[in-house]
Amino acid sequence: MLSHITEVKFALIYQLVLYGSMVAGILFRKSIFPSSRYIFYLILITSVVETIGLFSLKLYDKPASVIYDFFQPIELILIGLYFLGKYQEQVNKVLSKVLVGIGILFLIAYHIIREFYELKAYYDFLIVAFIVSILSILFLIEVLRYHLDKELLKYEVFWISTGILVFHAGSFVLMGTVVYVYLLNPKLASQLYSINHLLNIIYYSLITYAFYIQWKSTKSSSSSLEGH
Amino acid sequence: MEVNEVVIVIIGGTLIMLILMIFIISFFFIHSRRQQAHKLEKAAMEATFNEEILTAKNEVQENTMKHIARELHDNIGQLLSLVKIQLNNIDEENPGLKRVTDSREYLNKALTDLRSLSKTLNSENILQAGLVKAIAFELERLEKTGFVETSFENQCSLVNIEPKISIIVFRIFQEMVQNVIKHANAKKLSVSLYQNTEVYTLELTDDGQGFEVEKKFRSNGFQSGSGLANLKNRAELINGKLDIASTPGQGTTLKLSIPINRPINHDESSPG
Repeated sequence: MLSHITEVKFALIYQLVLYGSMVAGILFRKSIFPSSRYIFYLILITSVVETIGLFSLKLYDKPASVIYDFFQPIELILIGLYFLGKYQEQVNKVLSKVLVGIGILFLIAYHIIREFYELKAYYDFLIVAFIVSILSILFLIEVLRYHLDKELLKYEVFWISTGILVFHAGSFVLMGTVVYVYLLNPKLASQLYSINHLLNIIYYSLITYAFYIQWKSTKSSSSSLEGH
Repeated sequence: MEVNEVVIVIIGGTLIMLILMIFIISFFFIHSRRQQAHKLEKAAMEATFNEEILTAKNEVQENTMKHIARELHDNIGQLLSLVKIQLNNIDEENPGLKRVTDSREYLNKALTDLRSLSKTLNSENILQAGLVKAIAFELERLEKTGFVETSFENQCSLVNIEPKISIIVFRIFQEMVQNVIKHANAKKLSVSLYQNTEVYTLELTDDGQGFEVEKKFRSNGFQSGSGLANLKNRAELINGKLDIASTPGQGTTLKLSIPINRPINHDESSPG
């Protein structure tokens, strides 16, 4: 009983944080920089997908896996486009296109093959998490090279990238652990998986913070312009 | 089992937060270290860039002055000499013509001034004569113009400054003198050169109208104080320092300190 309550509580907090992030995105949409809009679209889509997933779980007692199958490539493309707009180095731009391309091809092939053969549903999740982690690491390395004039606390891209890295790298490790533990103790594995909600909470909190500082910086620069 | 899940979530959550904190703190630390290094590098580059620009400006100025000096001496000087010969011929043909005698006098004066000017413009002359003699010569020339009464006191027995630096010091001195003539409205200009343990100091004091130093540097934007700022920059170029002390109505004192312990070329300068 307590297990179920804990699971529901964390899922609920995650949903609330996600909606909060969506509301922040809508409220501050005018101050969101063009390439950061992909993250805003991602949040809008995630909110819809998670809402459908939640209702599906409540009404039919099973996750809406088809929706998630469509969601994964969209997530990969949006995050890829986001980083593509942020990279300074041409190599990273090309690498991100290649990685996202490979990821999309893999996902399509994986979902088709899965229709005919029984494949575990976590390989697609792992590959997306891996690619996205690489993309965010590449960007964070660039921050240490090209964005030394930025104040990190007020640099929204840093917080978004950190959120993306923490969630996807964390999910990658977590999923790997869950898969391994599942072989030994399936119940423990499902319990472990609730940590994923925590990662989600951190992810969307950081994105909300990034939207907020973006809005704040736009506001302060426009008020200083008015002052002149 | 139920308690087990809560424990897992707590441990997992703590671990995640810990990793996140370590990541963010480490990133901030590395970023700030690189930022510091980047700032220092940028400042050093800016300083080098400014120094190079100033050096280039000085070189261009020297070349221009040398060119003007040569033109004055070779062309205009020659032409005036020809005029002088013509006047002499006229005087021989028609002796006693007052206009001719007067013209010849004015011409002689013009030729002398022209040669003096040509000498102070040409850096080779400055190097040849040495800094002290060049300063004395420039003040003498200035005195002759009648704009201001000058005095020069040299307390250094031997001035040992690298030739390149000598020229820059002399150009700074010339600009300081120009400032006195243009802006100070002074009647007297006293110049002294003395030596402390580590520096030579060239001091110019005038009895002109003075000005508020801070205000001059702070106020009315682009042009104001830019001449003084330029002098300061040029002083910094030779590792020197320019101190300005002035009070409205009570004249101005400019002190140019030139470090002694710079690389020294031994053929420089003679006692004043």
